[in-house]
Amino acid sequence: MSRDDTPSSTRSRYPGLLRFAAVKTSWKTLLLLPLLLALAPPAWAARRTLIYKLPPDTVEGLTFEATHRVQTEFVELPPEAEPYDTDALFASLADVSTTISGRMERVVARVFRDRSLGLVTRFIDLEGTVDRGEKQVPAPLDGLEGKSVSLRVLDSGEVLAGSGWEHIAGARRGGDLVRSVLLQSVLRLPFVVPANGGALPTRFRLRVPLEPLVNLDQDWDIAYREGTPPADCKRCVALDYEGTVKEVAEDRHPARPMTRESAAEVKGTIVLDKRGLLQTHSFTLTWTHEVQSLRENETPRAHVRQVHAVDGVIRSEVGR
Amino acid sequence: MSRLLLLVFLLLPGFALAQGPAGDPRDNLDATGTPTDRYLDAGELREVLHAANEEFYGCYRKHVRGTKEAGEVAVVFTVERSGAVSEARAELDRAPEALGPCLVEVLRGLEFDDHDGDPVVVSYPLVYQVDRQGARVLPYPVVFTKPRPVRLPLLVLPVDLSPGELRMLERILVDDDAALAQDKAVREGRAGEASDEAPPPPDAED
Repeated sequence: MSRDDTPSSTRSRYPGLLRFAAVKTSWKTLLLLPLLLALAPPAWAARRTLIYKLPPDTVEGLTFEATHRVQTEFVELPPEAEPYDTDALFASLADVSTTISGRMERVVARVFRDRSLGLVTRFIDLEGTVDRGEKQVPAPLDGLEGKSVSLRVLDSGEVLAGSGWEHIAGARRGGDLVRSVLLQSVLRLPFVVPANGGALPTRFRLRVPLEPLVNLDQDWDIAYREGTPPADCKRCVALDYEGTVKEVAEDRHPARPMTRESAAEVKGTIVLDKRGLLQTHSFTLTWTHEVQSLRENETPRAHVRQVHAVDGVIRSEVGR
Repeated sequence: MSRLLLLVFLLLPGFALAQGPAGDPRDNLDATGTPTDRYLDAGELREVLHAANEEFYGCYRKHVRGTKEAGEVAVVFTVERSGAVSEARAELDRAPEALGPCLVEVLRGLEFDDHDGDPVVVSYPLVYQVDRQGARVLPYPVVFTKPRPVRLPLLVLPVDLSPGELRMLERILVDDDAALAQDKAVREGRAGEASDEAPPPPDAED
């Protein structure tokens, strides 16, 4: 039936658009609609109750401690290794424990137009030791002191982008000692605190641009449970988590072609205060890295296996 | 019809506001000069150097007569973390020696932003030109910096690894055959001097 055939008695006095939307109300109410829509919170806000409080215009101080134990095994070596006396080198890499402690100063330096935050975190007052089973020696951390990494994050902990990693990446710089600390300081939160002893699975992907030619692409699969906050932390929220991480990485620099496939088991506890300020975050990560260096024709050249266990804790400098 | 248009006109801004401000692909963490980028990049260095162009020209006006005398001049300096200039020098080619201290004096007066990176070694060519438009120093479009190389970023290595050990690892794991052959030739040349071969020497940066 065409519109012209509609009997006049059934025609609405409202225009077609409104009939379609089944809205029949007064024009005064309709005039208020734009205002109501403007004030309405976005859809996600209704579900998410857990966010990090990252105060603007404030330098937030966090202290951290971490212990790294790296065991390195040279599974396959190329013929190029034969002329070298590698025993001493491999012995010095076989089993190395490193401790690091210091402070992170972080500040929201920029609020982007999509409400994401440009969070600059600087590592300062660093101290550390290296132990190869004989005696502890001071770790040279001068190259790391004062360096910063910028992350573009949502207050849920979602990391959208990062820059500055290249200034701490690579050998003899110590970036491996603080990378997990920084990433755990803004670990993705679940939407809500899991109730009734249940677990809330959370999966997300994370890209760490170590430098323009190297990305670490991680898949996190963790389950959150409600934890027990410290007795002296009133109205705090504690979240226990446990899960796995998979990572693939490729170094596309022509002078050092390498690939790395890694898997990790992760667990930890995050404590947030009533406002969402991070109080403590203790974590354990146990990585197994399978590293292959490649020849020009992309055939394997050497295979190195590394087991990297990280045990760390981050604490707020602000009292509860 | 007019009511419908009025309704659409009223609803549109409401929808726009309810969805929040949209992102923009130009939003960038490491955009030059943003507070989230704590490292000096070539753009920031170039801006300061171009602003000092008149002062560089002042030195030429005082000490150089004509383009024949100018030669290929470059200034080399280091920007410390504080933004201060250190180790400033001028590479003068055939330019008069008196030009050097004057250019260095200009460099010492430059103020760069403080930054979180390693001290940045900068090289900047000065192009002196005399033509119908008169004499001037042309703002050179490129600033040369030497970033510290990232080495074996996919291996988790002890922070106290010695330069020699790192170089040996690179030779074993990633160096190409040409570099290896060169290294072998050097080693064979030294074989008569020392039978117990030490690791290859560290790179200059270490």
